[in-house]
Amino acid sequence: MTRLRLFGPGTARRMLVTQVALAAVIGLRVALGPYLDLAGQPAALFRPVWFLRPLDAMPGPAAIVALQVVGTAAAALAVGGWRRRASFPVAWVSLVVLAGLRSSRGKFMHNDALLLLAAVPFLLAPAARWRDQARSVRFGWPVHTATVVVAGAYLFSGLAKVLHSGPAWIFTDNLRYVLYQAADSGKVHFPDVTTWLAGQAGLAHWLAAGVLLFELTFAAVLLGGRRTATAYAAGAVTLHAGTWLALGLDYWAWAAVAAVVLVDWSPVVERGRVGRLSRYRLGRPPRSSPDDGNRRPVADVVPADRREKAEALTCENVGPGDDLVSSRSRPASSLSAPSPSSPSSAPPRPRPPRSRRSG
Amino acid sequence: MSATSTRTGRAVVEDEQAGRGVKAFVALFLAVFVACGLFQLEAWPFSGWALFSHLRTDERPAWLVTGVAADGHERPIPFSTFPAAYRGHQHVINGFDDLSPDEREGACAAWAAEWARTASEADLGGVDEIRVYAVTDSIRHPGSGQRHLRYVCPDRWPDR
Repeated sequence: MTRLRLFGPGTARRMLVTQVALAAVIGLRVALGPYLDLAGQPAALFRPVWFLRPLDAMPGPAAIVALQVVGTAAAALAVGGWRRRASFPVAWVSLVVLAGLRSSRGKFMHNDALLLLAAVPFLLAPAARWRDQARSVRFGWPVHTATVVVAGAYLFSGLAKVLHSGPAWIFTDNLRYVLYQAADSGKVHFPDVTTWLAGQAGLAHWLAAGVLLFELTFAAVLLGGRRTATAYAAGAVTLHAGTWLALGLDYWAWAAVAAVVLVDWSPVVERGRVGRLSRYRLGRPPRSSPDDGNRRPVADVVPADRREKAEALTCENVGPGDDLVSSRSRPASSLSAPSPSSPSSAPPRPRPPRSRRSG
Repeated sequence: MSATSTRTGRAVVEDEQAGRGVKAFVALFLAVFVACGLFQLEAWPFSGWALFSHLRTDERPAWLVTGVAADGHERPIPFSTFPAAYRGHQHVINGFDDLSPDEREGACAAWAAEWARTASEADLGGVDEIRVYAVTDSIRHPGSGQRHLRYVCPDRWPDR
């Protein structure tokens, strides 16, 4: 059993990937949320959440659009690695305010709550670079704290069901009535499916039991290893896809947060970067790196003998961006990457023969 | 200070400690998070996470808001056709008991004004009064429930 230590070490790469992915989700929520529809609400209907009480009424459309633009731009900058320690908090604050306005109509909206809370540790996360391979406490605690938040949100959701309803949440027609009500609400995308599901008494009981069991055991991600975390992340994605299908509720941000926080995507990103570097070798025009902009000269990362081979093969110098993959995992063939530093000045080179690609 | 090993080929910094500020921040953050979860407190975005936690039965309690025209004709206000800013009226009415009569009237006036803006004159026929009913309807058989008048907003509407 691999118990999660809150202040145990973690890798810079995992922290970086998690933070970038959370920034991307925040950016999408800020850009695509229905916040502009809130403008124009009469002051008499404004029920502000606690930190928006200084406002007398819902802000006007100009203020809401400005917030969306700032938040989206900040999120994009955080994804791109530009002053992430400043741009990430700006994006987060934008979503806090916008989603807070959405919750200021009298009902607590949970759609963005998990995203916002899981992102809180990354507000104080240290700057990290992709080439950092150290496992350190300072890279570990943000991901571990976010994991606790995700696990806690699902666990407390299950506990609330037990506290308010007890076993009746499973053993009565509770879920069937939820489905019937949803089918009648006009919000569901496939009302026939929802109505059919509501009509299956036995299936509804099993579904209710499965949901409650899933939520109450979610804390297993704190005790189990990677497989456990991946399994629960997949379960969360399935649960929210089903919620969208059956109830028409938009909880994709929850699914995204569970997938981003619980699963270590850094090996996947690493493979993607290796693939990109391999394409450079085949003569495709280079793209800009999404890394932090902290790059080393080629001599730092490529051994001299391999550098000579690469130079002989490409007749170009390898430049900034050459640390797209770590020296540990970089395949020898990828060391012949041409320089992505000046794509406009480098003349396009003909694609090499297919035999080189396979070789 | 840190100890370095070469396990798995990576530099492993095992004994580095998180700073006091970080520990205090995480402790405070998680304390609020756990307290809200355990005691069902709502301090947005902190939550008690009461998602579909209350038992649903065939009885569906709801609020029905109607407008009464000058000729006495009474029609339900079509909230589903209103912009998103006006949704959530059920939750606003849940808090009516805590509002002053003027505040209740303000909410009713806002709904009436939006109704007046979106409905045609022929459909509306003028609104002299807003009534709020507590309705206990059947989910399986909508429309079969009973309603009880809970609030009446007098005719102090803005000119249309």
